[in-house]
Amino acid sequence: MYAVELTNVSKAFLGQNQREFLAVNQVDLAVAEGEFFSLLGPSGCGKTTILRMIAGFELPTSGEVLIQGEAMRDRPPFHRPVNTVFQNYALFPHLTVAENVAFGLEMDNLPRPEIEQRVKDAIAQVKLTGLETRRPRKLSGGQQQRVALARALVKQPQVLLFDEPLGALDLKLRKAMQLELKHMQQQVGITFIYVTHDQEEALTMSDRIAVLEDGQVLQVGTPAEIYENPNCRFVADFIGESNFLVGRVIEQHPGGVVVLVDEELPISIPSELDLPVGKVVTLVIRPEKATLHPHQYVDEPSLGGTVSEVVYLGTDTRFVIRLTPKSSIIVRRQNLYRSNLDSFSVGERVQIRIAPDSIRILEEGELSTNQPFAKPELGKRQ
Amino acid sequence: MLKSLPDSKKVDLWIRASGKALLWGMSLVGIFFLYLPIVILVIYSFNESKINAVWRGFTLQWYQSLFEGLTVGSDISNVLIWDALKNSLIVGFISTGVATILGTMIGLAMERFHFRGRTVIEGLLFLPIIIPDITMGIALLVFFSLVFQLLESLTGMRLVLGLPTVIIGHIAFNISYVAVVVRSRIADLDPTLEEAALDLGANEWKSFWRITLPLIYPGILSGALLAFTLSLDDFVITFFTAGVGATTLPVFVYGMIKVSVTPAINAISTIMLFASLIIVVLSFSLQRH
Repeated sequence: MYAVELTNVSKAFLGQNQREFLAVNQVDLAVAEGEFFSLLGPSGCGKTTILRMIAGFELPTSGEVLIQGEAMRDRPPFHRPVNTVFQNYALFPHLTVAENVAFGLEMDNLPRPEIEQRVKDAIAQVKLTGLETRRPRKLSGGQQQRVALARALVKQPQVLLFDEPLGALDLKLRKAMQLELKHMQQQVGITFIYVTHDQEEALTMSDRIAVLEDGQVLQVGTPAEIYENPNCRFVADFIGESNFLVGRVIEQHPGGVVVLVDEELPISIPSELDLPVGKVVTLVIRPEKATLHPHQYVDEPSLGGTVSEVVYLGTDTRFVIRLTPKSSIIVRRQNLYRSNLDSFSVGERVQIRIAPDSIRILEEGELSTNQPFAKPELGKRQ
Repeated sequence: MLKSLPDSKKVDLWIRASGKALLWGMSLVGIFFLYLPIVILVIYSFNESKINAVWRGFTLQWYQSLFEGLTVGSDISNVLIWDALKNSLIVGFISTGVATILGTMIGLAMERFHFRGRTVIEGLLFLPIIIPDITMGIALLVFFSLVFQLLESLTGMRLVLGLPTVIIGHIAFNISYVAVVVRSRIADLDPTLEEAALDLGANEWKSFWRITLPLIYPGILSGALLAFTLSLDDFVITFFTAGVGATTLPVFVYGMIKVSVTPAINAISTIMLFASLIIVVLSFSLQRH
């Protein structure tokens, strides 16, 4: 039995011009018991709407939300075994920290001594002991976040929902909270469903990730599956950084194909897919999976190119290499040694080696797009 | 040394300076016209002379005679003042209570729910605030006489204007004021707080009492105080809906002017002024809280 299951769920909203639009479009999801499951996508992809349907704030237009096998359609939020940590925390401003945390237990009409004990434990669990009588306004953003977490955790729900809870925190604190949340989830064993637009956050914490776009689930998988084997260009682009080369198959042989990029650059790739000659495909190459070598390098199959840009980023250096007049590729090299920092310079001829099995083939793409990827964003950090 | 400005630019400086002077002047004149009469009124409530225009020394006799009305067997007009005050307070409390409850409900509905005809109701809500009191008074009078006629022809029951009709009239205009004040408070309230309450196991009823009400309570209270002040001060609508024997303080004072203008009126006015002032200040400080 799944902790949470969505079967063919759609949600239509009435737009500005009185026209309906689908915020969530025929989504099927199954979240296992005890799993840390992330809903990842850009803003407006429907991830928050999905979370709100699980919490009960929105009802699906069609389809069914099941929590532990039970259909939730007729269950209002206060009868569902889930609790939410809201994006802006939604702490009750007129109640103290302890009163905020106790609120949910009081709604369950638990005996006073039990409430007090559990509130005390929950506040200790999120390391806020000593701040029980403070009002939320007198707390820092990180502390407010912890109160919101304690308030949801104290109810010991079957499923805990998070709506971009770390969005308002600064980078350092966010990183620390990510690890803490992950540890806490492993400790308490509650199923976490976590909405975020931050791909790094999703990769760091999740057991599995669902990538969404325009109300649809594009891919569901473990962080490694999603990163290494993206099933479409959007996923490859959204998770991490990718180079896209569009070409057409010119040769098919058992166990592999040769793809001609821009009518001049043949690339040989092993593949189990049935790709007939003439089919247009997109090759996905992660910048860190390519290595640069001097021009004379001839040992193994490699691609020749010219360095057109070099950007030093501290931990690594990014090179933009022009392969053909139309296509470039970003190669990322870790700065292992100080000595080779300026080993390649702009205008230099280089060879790029990519392990053939590190190239992912997507059966999509259009040859007419002269720029397989937009201008490379060199400054972009992961 | 700074280069001095050319003459053509000096005009700009002159405009700026004269604008400042003008603003000060206008403000002073405005304040003068608004508050001088009130200050005079308060001062002359302590005037020994029976005629308002002549100052003949300080006295508390007018306040004294007012409070003598509380004792048995005093001057009849002084007794009637207290009757009028009692009526005013009855009307004020009941109409404020009812209008506050109804106005809060309307304010909540308007801010929280989207329903058909919301904009129409929104417009209607402002109507009692913007239409002239006299129109409202006449409309209520016509309405009451129609209803009374209808009731009489249907049941034979004969009703007349009195305190109940005054109260209904006051509720009618107070609802709008309360709804507008409460609504602005609810607009500041984060709706996810209510969602959080539901999420934590509170049903809508508990969520309202534990979360929504405590947070909008200052708005409700300042709306109620505003309503009470308006009710206490109202003359026109009361005048049309009162009938005989339901005289409120403002109506009574108006009657007094017709008979004899004594500084007793100043005394009553001063008391009413300060009572209203206290309530309004209270209301504003709650609103800001």
